[in-house]
Amino acid sequence: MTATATPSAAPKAVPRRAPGGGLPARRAVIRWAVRLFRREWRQQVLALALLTVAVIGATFAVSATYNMASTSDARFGRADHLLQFEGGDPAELGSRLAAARQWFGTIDAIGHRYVEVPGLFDPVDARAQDPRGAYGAPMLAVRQGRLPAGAGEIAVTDGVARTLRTELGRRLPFDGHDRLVVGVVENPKDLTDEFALVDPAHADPPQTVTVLVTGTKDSLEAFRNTIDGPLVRESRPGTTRTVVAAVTLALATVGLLLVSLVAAAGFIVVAQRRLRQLGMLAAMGATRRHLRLVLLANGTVVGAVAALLGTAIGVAAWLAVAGQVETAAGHHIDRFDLPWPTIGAEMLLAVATATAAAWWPARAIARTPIMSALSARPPRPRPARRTAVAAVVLLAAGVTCLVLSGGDNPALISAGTVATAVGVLFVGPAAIRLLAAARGGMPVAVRLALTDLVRYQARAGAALAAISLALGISVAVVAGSAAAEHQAKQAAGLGNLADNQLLVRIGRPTPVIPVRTPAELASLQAQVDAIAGNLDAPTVTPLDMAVVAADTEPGQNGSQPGHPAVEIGTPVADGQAMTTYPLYVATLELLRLYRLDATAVAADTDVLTVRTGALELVNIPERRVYPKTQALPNPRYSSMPNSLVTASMMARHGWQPARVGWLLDADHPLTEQERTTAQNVAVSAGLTIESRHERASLTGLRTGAVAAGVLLALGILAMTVGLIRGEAAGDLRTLAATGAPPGVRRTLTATTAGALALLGALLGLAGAYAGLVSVLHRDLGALSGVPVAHLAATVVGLPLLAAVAGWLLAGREPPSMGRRRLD
Amino acid sequence: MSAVLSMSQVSKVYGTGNAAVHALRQVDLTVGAGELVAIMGPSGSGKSTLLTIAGSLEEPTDGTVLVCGDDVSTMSADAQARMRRRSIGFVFQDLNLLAGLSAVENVALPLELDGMGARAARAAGLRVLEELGLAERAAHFPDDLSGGERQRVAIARAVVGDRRLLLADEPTGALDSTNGEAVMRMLRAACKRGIAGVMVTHDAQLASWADRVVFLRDGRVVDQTAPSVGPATLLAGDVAP
Repeated sequence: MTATATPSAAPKAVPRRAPGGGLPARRAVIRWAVRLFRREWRQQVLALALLTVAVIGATFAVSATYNMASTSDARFGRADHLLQFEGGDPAELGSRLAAARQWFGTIDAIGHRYVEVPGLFDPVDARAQDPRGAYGAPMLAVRQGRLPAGAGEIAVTDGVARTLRTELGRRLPFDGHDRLVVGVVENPKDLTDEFALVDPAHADPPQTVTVLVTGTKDSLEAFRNTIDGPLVRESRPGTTRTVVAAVTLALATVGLLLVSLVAAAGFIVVAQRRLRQLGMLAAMGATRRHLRLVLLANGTVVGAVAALLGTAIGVAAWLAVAGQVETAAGHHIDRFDLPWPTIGAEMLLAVATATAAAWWPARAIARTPIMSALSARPPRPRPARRTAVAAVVLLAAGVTCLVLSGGDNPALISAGTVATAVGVLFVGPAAIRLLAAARGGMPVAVRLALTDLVRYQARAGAALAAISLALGISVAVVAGSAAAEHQAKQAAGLGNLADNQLLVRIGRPTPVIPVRTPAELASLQAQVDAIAGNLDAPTVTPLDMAVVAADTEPGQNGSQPGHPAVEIGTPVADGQAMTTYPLYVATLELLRLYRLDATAVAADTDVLTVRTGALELVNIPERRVYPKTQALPNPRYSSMPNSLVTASMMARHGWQPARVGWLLDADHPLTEQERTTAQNVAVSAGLTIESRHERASLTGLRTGAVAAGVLLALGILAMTVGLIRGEAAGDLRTLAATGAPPGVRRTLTATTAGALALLGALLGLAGAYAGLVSVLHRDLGALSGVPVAHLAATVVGLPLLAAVAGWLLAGREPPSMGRRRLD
Repeated sequence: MSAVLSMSQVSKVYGTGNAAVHALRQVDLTVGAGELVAIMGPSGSGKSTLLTIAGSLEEPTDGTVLVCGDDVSTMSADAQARMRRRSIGFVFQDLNLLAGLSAVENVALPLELDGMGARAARAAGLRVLEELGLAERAAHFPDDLSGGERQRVAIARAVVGDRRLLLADEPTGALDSTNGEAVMRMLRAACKRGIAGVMVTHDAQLASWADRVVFLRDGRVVDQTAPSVGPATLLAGDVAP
């Protein structure tokens, strides 16, 4: 049956306007978007806050990275090169200084004497430096008091003041003079540089002299050719600011990627909330371009607000904590010396990326059928196959770039990092589907929650991407810092001693061991026992060296005569000189330290050592004695004995053991008080002590990175999980109607939050390690030190925390369950 | 009477295979200028689908839809959007006004989307609101308006400019009888001025305002009739304003 009327079209007058509405239409749409932002900014406060936090983080990171980079000014001041002259022969030193002055014109000479401190093994650097030196002036500053004038005055750094237990205004004996401490000084470019400053005009002859010069490298090499014998010289490394700029750019890029993903997750939420109104706008005649413009304008506004707020807060935070950062950086920082162009560019990029982040949801919403939009039905999830293929391609490209970078090509590192990060993010949809596919056999609430992640894949995927990136950066910082520490330890060992060890020596190590009577040794042993008693039940391991008892040599530096100590040496490059190392007697107690017993030592072994290559025994009457060696487990602490002579070798050569010290192992890290007490006992007994030198630890950095990643992830989860659960309120009503217990809502929310957090943590972990393995593929051992606690906090702790928080916060019935807001 | 809307053999199928749902089956409907047609039928009969296809919010699976003589199926998405903002006005049961825009801005929005300057569009919007007795509410935002006022502003927006076709889906569904009657009076008045109107309702009393009532069942037009006695007849010549 039909309903009809006259089928003729009425003529109509079409107004002459731009087909798409032109500028007036765009203005109207933007006006509405801005009004909506002003009206509903509270609904976007979480996205805005996360964006702002990301910009704060990026601004702070850029500022801190820029300022924390160690500068070669600490050693070179304003000079291009430094030369090191020995001061043993004053005449030769004078001629070399004159030659340098003639060659380079202006030079700046800094004298060093290494002054022994009673009771301490490490000497203090007594520095004779002109505070107005042509090149060295930036390396010296007075913090308190004044500069020394005259032989009776001295200024010290904080560390040296603690070592010498002195302070401003006190007198102390130092380097053979009674001195008054008139100032506290520092090297502003390196706050860990510890020294005592003496008046250069009244300084004693230096043991070494550092000469700062300027000129080309060719000029330096030409000068080297005019000098007879070896010349230690060093040129200022390439400008670190260039490297810092590259690192800052990479950081900003990754930070902005995070910003855009966080923003995308937030804008998807906003778009979904406005879906019906956008449908209404489309029904009114708005084109797809107009619909996109609504969300793009919203993105721009949010990005601009976040960029302004974030930059202001980030800079303010930097200004507030720059003082603390100085301590970590180890040099003074001009807190207003910030990379302003980079920060400005980052602000613009933040706005641009926020706008770009709105493109994705804007495009999806504009393509949503009008009737679906009017009924607020979410777009149908897309197949994950395409994103999975893109993920594989990007990951392959990223890993390739990182491998080819060799760890020192900023462009390839940046490209590889971004490609790997985006690749991991593209794995998200497939990961969500994989997890949902494994839901069989689980309780209905869990199954439903996992299914909803697929149903609302656009939102879940964006949130997962943001969480993965946040946690990926966090894990990269955690694992990267652990790798850096590992590499540093590989390069420099584990330090001089473990933090629970104390090395007590009789006097100072010299090639001649004074002869001591049994009574003297008993007295020293009693003092060592007293030190050991103060350290609360340590293990005491006596240290003996082999001496040639048949020979007696005069003591060195005024010490008693004694027997020469047998040493082990390796020839240096020219095959003439030897680098020698102490050789200790392989006593049973000492072997126990290396977890060896007597049976582990082969009968024909002469020396157990960590060293390899050609080894020769020196300081003995015989020539060219090449011991048969056996590998000794490397203690990796530089002050631990690392070459042991066996009893059979000693017996063959008639060498005798001579006590030189004791190694004390406490069952706890030594405290400052225990070290001070031990030093006091040592001073009175003529002993010296050595304890662990302080080393910077990156544990605080790791903890901060984990905390920041977890907080950001929880924020994103709070934003997304609430929306997904709100959208699925209808299912909840159905469940309640079919008799589901009240705990179902809690289980749904907890599962949604926990599943997203777990997937994000796993993807972040995989991405971070993929990047690190690619960069460090030549030295995978650097990744052997896995920071288990920090990683567990991310991979296990975060999902648990998210699930528990979801469970607790889901107790209240959401408003959407009772009714659906229309206008 | 010239035809503003002409639907010929229009069918709409949702889904495929066993899950296919035939919302409309070969429907023919023509609405002339100044005519108000009411569509009635039980739930699921295809009333709203017919309206959304007539307004180019959905594509028919089959058949032809002409609006002011133009074949909608041959138009691009942008052309359809242009047609909606120039020729078609919608009034829904709810969600009619955009939050964040005042009443007059809501009314002027289709004109601005079509490229008219903000000032001129606002003046045109104010004129329509004055005609509908809502001038004093022009600066108010949707949250400050009552349900009846919101529907009346929505009708103002649906007729602003040179609109030829007014499509209303249960326009009084969320209103009390007094406001419902006021809304119907406005729709009737708009049609009196030459606009073709199609109104979906399941309320026989409201359908009696129409010139013609078309009955749908299972996606087919099963009957059509002109109400013999009803408000439209009673109030003929007495419609406001």
